Amino acid sequence: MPSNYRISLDDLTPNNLGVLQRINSVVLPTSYSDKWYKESLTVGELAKLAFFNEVPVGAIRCALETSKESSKIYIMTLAVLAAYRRYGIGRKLVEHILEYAKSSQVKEVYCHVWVENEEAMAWYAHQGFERGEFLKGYYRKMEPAGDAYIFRKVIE
Amino acid sequence: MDIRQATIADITGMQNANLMNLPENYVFRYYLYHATTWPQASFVATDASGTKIVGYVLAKLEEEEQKDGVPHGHVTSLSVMRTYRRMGLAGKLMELALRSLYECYGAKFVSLHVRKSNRAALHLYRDTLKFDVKEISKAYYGDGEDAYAMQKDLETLDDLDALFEATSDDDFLIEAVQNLNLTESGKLVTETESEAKTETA
Amino acid sequence: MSARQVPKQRYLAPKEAASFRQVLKLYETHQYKKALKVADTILKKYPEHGETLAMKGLIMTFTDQRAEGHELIKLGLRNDISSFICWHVYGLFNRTEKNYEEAAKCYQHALKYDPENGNILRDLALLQVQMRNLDGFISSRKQILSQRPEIRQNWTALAIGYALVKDYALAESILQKYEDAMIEAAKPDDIEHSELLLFKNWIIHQSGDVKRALEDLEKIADVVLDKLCVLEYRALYLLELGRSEEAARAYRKLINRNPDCKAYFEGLEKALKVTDDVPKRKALYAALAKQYKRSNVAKWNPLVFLTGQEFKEAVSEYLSGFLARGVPSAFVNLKPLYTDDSKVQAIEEFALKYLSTLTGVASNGSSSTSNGAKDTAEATPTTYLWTVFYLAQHYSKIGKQDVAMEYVEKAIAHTPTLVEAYMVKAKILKRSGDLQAAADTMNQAREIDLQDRFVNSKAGKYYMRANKNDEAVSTISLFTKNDGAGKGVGDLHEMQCIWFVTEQGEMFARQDKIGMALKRFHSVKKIVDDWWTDQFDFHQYATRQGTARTYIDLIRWEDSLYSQPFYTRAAEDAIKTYLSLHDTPKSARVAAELAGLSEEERKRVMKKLKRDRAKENKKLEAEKLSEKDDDPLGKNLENTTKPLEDAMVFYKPIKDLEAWKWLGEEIEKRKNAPVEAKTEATA
Repeated sequence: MPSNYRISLDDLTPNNLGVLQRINSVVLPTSYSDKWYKESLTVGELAKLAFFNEVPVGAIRCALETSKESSKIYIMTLAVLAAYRRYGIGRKLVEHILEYAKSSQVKEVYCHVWVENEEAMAWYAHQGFERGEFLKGYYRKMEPAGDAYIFRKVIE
Repeated sequence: MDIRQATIADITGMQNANLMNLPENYVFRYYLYHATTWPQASFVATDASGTKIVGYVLAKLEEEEQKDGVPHGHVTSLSVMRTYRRMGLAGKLMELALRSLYECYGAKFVSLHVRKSNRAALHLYRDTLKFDVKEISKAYYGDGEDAYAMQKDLETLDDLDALFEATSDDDFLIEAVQNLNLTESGKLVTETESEAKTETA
Repeated sequence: MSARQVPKQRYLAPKEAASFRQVLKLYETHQYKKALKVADTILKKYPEHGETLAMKGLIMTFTDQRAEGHELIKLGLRNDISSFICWHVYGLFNRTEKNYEEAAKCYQHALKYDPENGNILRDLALLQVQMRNLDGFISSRKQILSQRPEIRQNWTALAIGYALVKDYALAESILQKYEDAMIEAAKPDDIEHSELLLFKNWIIHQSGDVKRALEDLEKIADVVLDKLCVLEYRALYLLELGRSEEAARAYRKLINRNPDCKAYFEGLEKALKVTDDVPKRKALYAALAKQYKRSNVAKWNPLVFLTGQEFKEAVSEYLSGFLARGVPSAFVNLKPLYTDDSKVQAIEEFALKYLSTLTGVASNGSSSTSNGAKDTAEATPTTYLWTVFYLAQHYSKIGKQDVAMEYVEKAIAHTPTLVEAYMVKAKILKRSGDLQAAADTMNQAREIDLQDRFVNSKAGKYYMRANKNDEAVSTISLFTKNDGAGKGVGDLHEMQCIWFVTEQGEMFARQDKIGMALKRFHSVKKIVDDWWTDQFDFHQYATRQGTARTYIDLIRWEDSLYSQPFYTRAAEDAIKTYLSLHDTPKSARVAAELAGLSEEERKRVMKKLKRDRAKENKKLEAEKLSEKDDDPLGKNLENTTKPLEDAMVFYKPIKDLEAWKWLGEEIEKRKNAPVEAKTEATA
C-alpha cells in the first residue's frame, strides 16, 4: 500500500457546511434542502467530513432514530468524491458511525440502497451489512419509482 | 521565501497580513509597542521577492505580574497567508519566537489562545509544536467564541549552538567547497591528493 | 518656593496658591473635573489670574471643550505673558493640535522665564526630534543630561541624538562615559543593559571601525542576552574583516538556528567566495539541502543561479516535491523565476511530463481504473490535483487564460471542494476581464471555507473590482466588528485597513462617486498621518526601554513613510481625481451625459439620474464612519472650489520623490493655465 497519503475525519461546523453541500451535490443523485443541511449541524458525531491529505473529499450524515424499544442510526447520506474512492475513505466514515453506535448503546445502523446500484450493495455487504427488506417504489421521485433494499448492521 | 526577525519596516506588512487573515486586529501603535519593547520576539516570512510579508508571529513577554514571579512569554498573533500554507512557515516562525523569548527574556514557558473552532491552529500548536491545553477560556473572543488556553514549557529547548559546536563538521564543508570536485553522482568530495599536487606543481 | 519677587498679576494669597498647586496635581493625575472645580474657586477671587486661566483652559481641552479651552489659554497667556506656566500650557495645546513649530516656540519662551525647568526641556526635546530638528534635540538633551547625569536614559537619549546625525564618535563616547561611571550597577538579566551594550557595539560598527567592533563584541558577548544578535553581528564583522573561514563558520551556526533566512546563506556564500562560481555554489547548496531537509531556501536559491540542463533537474526535483506533498504554494514560490523565458519553458515541460505520468489518478469517473497508478509511490489523487492546479496558475501567469481555464476546470471537476482551485479560477476570470464572474467565483471559494478571513478578504476585493459595493461590504463585514456607527467599513477604518479603504475609494472613483472616492483617499492619508504621529510617544518610551537601535530604525523608517506604496497609490488616486474635478467641473459632466438628447429624453434621464442618486446616497449615508461623521458622502470634498490646492495636500509629502514629479507637473500645468481655457472647457 502506498503510504504517502493520510485520511482524517473532522467535525461538521457552520464554517465548513459548504463542503458537505458540495460533496453531496456532485456525488448523490438526490438534492437536499437548506433546512436539511442546517439540521446536519445538530447531529454531533453523526455528521463527519473526511479529508485526504488535508483536502475534504468525503462526508457522512446520519440521523438517530429513537423508539421505546431501541435506538437505530440511519445513514442518510454517504458520499466520497469519485477520484478518491478505493482509498478506504467510505469505510473510515462508516466505521466511525459504528463505533459511535457501540459507545452509545445503539443497536442497529442501517441505510437504503437502490436495487440497481450493484456497486453500493456489494460495498455495504463488504462492510458487514446484511441485506434486509425489499422496499418497492421506495425512491418515489425517480422515474419510474426506484426499488430499494435495506442494509443493516446489528451492533453487538 | 525568507524567514527573519521582524524590523520596524515590516510592521505595516504584518498589520496587512493580520487584517487579511485574522479577525483579531490591532492598530499600528500596538505593533510599534511590541517592536520597541521586545524587538527580538517577533519574526516574519516574506515572499521570494523579500518585500511582501506572507506570515508573521507577534510575540511578547507577559506583563501581568505573575504571582510566582516566573517570567513567561505570550504569542499575541500568528498567521500565514492561505496561499503560503502547508510549507511549515507557522511552525518555523513559532520556533524562532519561542527561542528568543527564552534567551532574551528568560521566559520559562509561553502561552497563547486558540479559537475552539480553529482545528488547523489547534493541530499546529498541539501536535507540531507540542503545546498543552491548560484550560478552556469561556467567551474569550469578542464574538463570544471559547478559546483553548495553551502552554509550552521552554526550558526543554535544545541549545542549538552547543549542539552545533558538538556535532558540526563544517570544516568538511568549507574544505569541500574550496577544493571542490564533483563525482558523477553530484556528491560532494574533497579533491584528491593527486589533483591537488598537479595544481601546485 | 522661589525667593524671586512674584509679579503682581501672578500673586495669589496663600490659600489660593495652595489651591493652584492642587490644580497642577489634579491635572497630572487626570482628575479633570475636580481640577476644574478648584480652578474656579481661585478664579472667583482672582478672575484675571493668567496661570489659573491657562490651566483651566488646558484641562477643558481634555473634557471636550476644545474651543473654549483654547480661548482661555490665550487669555491666560495675555494676562501673564512672562509666566513659564502659561507658555508651557500654550505649547502643550499646540502640540495636541500638531502645531509642532508653534509648540516648540512656546516651550522656548517658557524656558526663557524658567531656564532650568526639566519638564519643559524634555517636552521641547520630544518636539525637536519629532520635527527632525536634530541639532536642537541634541542641545536640549545635553542640557537635560547636565542637570540629571545620574539617570541612564539621559545618556542614552543624547547618544541616540548623535547617532541620528551620524556622529558616531560622540555617540560612543557618551555611552562610554556612562559605562565608566556606571552609576547603577547592571543587574545580571537586565535586557535594557544588554540592549545598550549592543547599541554601543552597533555604533562602533557604524563608525566604520569593524575591527574594534568585533573586539568589543567579544567583550560583551557573555553579558548580552540577545544571543542571536551577537551571532549575526559576529558573522557580519568577520566577513567584513575578510576572516573568511571564521565567517563561514559563524554563518553556518546561524543557518543551524534558522535554515530559512536568506541573509545567512548570502553571508556563507560570500565567506566561501562561491558567489561567482556556479559549480561550487551548486555543490554548497547540495550539501546544505542535505543537511537541512526542512529548509526551503537551500532548495530554492539554486533555482536562481542554475541554468539550462542543471536548472531543469533542480526545478524538477523542487516542483515534484511540492506537488507530491500537496503544497498549494508551489506556484507562488516559483513565480519570481517567470522573468526568464527559458526557465518558464523548462517548468512547463516538466509539469506537463509529470502530469502525463498521473493519468491513473486523474479519473473522476467511478469506472474501474487500473490498479497500477495507485501502487506507484507518488501518484495519489491529490498529486494530480495539485499538478493541474499548478498548470492553471502557470498558464494564467504567462497570459494564456484559455488554457489556464481548462486546467483549473480539471482541478474543480476532480475535487470540487478545493477552495484554492476556485480562487485561481477567479483570478483567471479577472485576468480575462470578466470581473463579475471573477467575483462570483471568489465568493464560491469563500462559501466552502467560511472560517478563513483570507478568502473572505479576497472575495470582498473581487466584488469591489466588479464595482459591487453592497456585496463587498456585506462580505467583509462577516469578519469585522459591526457595533460602531460605521459598521464594518468603520471598523476597517479604525483598524487602519489600507488595502480595503484604497480599493473602495478606487471603486467609487470608477463609478464617478467623486465625493465618496475622495473621502476614502483622505482616509488613507489620515491613517498614514496617524502612523507619522504615532512615533511621538516612542521618543521617550524607547529610550527608557533601551531599545535604541530599534528606535533609530523607527525614525529612519518614518522618514520614508510617505514614499511607500500604501501612501503613493492613494495619493496618485486622489490627485488624479482632483485634477479631473478641475478639468471637468460637475456641471460639465452632467451636460456631457445629456448632450445629443431630445428635451423629453433629457428630462427623463435627469429624473432617473436623480432618483438613482438619491437611492444610492441613502444607502451610502448608512456608511457613516463614526458618530461624528457629518459628511458621509464626501459632498464637501466634491464641492471644493480649489481642487488644485486640495491635490497639493496629497502631493506635498511626495514632492521630492523623482518617481512622482510628473504628478506635481500636472498640477502646476493647470495652475498656470490661463483662466479662459477653463471656462471653455466648462461651456
